[in-house]
Amino acid sequence: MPYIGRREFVVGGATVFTLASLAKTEIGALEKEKERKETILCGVIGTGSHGRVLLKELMRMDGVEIVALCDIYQPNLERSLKGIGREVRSYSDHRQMLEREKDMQAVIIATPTGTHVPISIDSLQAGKHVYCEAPLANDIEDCKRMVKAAEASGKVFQVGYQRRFSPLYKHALKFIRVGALGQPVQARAHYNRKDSMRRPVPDTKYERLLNWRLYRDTSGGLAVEFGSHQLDVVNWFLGATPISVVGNGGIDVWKDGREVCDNIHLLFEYPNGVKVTYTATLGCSYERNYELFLGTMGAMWFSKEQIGLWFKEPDAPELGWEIYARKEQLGDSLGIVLDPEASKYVAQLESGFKPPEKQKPEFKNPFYIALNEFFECIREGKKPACGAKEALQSTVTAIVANMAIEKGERITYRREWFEV
Amino acid sequence: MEWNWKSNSFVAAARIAMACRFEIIAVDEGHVDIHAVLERALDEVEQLEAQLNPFVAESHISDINKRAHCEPVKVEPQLYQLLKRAVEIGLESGGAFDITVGAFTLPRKRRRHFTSIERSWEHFGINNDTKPLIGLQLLHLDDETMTVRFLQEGIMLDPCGIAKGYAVDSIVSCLRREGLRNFFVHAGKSSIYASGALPHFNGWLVGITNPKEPSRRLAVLEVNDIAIGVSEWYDNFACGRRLHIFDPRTQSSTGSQMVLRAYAICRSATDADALSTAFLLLGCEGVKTYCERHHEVGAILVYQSGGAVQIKAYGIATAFMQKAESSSRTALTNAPLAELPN
Repeated sequence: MPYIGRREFVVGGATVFTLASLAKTEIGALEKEKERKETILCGVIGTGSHGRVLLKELMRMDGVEIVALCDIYQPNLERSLKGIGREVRSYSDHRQMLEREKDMQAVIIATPTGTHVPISIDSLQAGKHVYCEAPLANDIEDCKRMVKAAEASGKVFQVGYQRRFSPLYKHALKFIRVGALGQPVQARAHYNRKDSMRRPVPDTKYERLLNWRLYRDTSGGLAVEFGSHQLDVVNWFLGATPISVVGNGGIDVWKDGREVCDNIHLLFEYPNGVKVTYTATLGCSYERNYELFLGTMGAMWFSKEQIGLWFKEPDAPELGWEIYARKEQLGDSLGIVLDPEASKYVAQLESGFKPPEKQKPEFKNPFYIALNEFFECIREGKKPACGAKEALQSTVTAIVANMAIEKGERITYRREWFEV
Repeated sequence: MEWNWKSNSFVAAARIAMACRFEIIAVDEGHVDIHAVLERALDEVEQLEAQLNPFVAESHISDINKRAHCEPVKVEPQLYQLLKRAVEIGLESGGAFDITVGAFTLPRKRRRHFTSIERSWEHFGINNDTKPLIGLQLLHLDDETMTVRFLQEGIMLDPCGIAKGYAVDSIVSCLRREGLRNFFVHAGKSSIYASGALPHFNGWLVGITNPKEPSRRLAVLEVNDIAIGVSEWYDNFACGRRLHIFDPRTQSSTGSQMVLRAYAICRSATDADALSTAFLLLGCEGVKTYCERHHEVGAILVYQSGGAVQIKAYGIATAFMQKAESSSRTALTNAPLAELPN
């Protein structure tokens, strides 16, 4: 049954229906649609803070059942089991979980970066579909191993660069692809947070396990852990990978025995002269995180993955619909709010000022959308929007940037780093 | 005895979330990673904000508000329990606290982002065809499927009256899990939890100021292992003082305003947050009746009577007020003290 718009009802069916009966009819149709969804049995490996965020999304999904959790750190495992509120099998060894959970079709991996490759490869070899958190790995060769294993498995392998699934970024990309920003000239991104990133440890024997982000052998530092997500957007929007990078960084704020920088600055050169700046600090939270794209016809600014503003140059062509669009002031500039839904509404208004047809409301949470797309790929045998190859480019971009910081020299990217 | 918030006896951490400043002050008792403990506890608030913020499209609450009138929306178990608790408090308070006020309150709270109030209503899906509605009877929570459904279009959830308290409770759980005992948590000073005590005291000291003369203190409470929620008619918004309480029973923002400020005191910050709003609207008689029926709850009302500002305690709060009156004035003057609100 097609989705009945509210206005259609008001105009055409007022003598027959009541609002409550309409709601009931719609609900019936949607419930049938849900029943048709095959339930996918899924396990989660890694139940730390990010694992819990993903669990919260999984628990509100239709057609997904969490059957097992795995974590080598018992307190995290217990906390997540409690959060689920029903009986779920638990493991401290992912191999045991993969061996015993024969019916489990998919695994979500939210473990420290250094363990993504072995756990993903074990899971793929056990015949499971894999959603692995980003970045892929801390090492270029490990990334390539992962790509090869994903391709050989024939299973769905998706990487959690969640901005790729965000309606906001996908909406903005349409404008960028048709040249709305003119010739791209610069991009900037930053991640600012006043936070030690340290986790409390009950015993020093857990220091490296829980504070893996602070040590060189388990972490690629801010560039890889946080930068790779934002650099992924840069690569994606520019449709390119960098030519070279120069960087500097230091342990300037949190002198607590950590080995990776808490304050970094990177300069990239992209094809066609595009200059990209990336900065990250754990010493100041001003403006949190944003990405900014500058072109000869305007700029686009994305803040905290939630707000997108488009600033047009005075000589940029008029598109007509901007006059309807909501605008927000940012400093001296007035930006057009990039709202995928608002644009739909405007398009409907322009097509003869017809009453807006009601759409089925869409999910907006990027984690939810990313996970949902993963399960849809499994159901329909589709290729995910961010698979191993796409993730390889962004992870390598960040790994090499981290090398530039550590070596304190300019590094030219080699073509073969991005190829398998 | 000299006390100083900045002395080494305390460790503090703060973060902006849910449009206010969350702060934790803990007595430093030699925990190796105490600062990390506080930081990770504050992470909880950020995660909850991402789930509960009705003003961002990505949150679970926005998702419910958009979809629950067309289909049952599956909800994560902890959020489901929060919604159930909100409904219980709503029923117990005779509708003075009502989480279904969103269609009325959310567009008003977001007004400054739009050129007109009509555009703000439109943004939240309220237009000529959709009448905003309120009513717990129009909200269906299904325990078996853990789903939320609105029985009519025009209903929206506004968790702002309970979210800060819930976040404070989450922080408290986190800190206790890490072994901390003596700490004080507040969210914009309108929702607090005092755990354990200050060194040399039997609790944490909380000052109650005169709403008409903020520099004058009406009382000091010495509280331990207790939550306090505070509500008053106006909040201090970026663009000035703003009437921010909405009475779901009369569907208006203009009450008698005889009660200037209400404090709810109980074990749960979630409950205290929601109850403080209800107490402001229930008035002295209503609060008295509520506290007589709920022995685990207390209230303090600051109200206007004959041109003077009066203060009165109900239920378990009576004991705290008495303690405050008998405490040594010198000790209270020199001790670190949180004024609620300031």
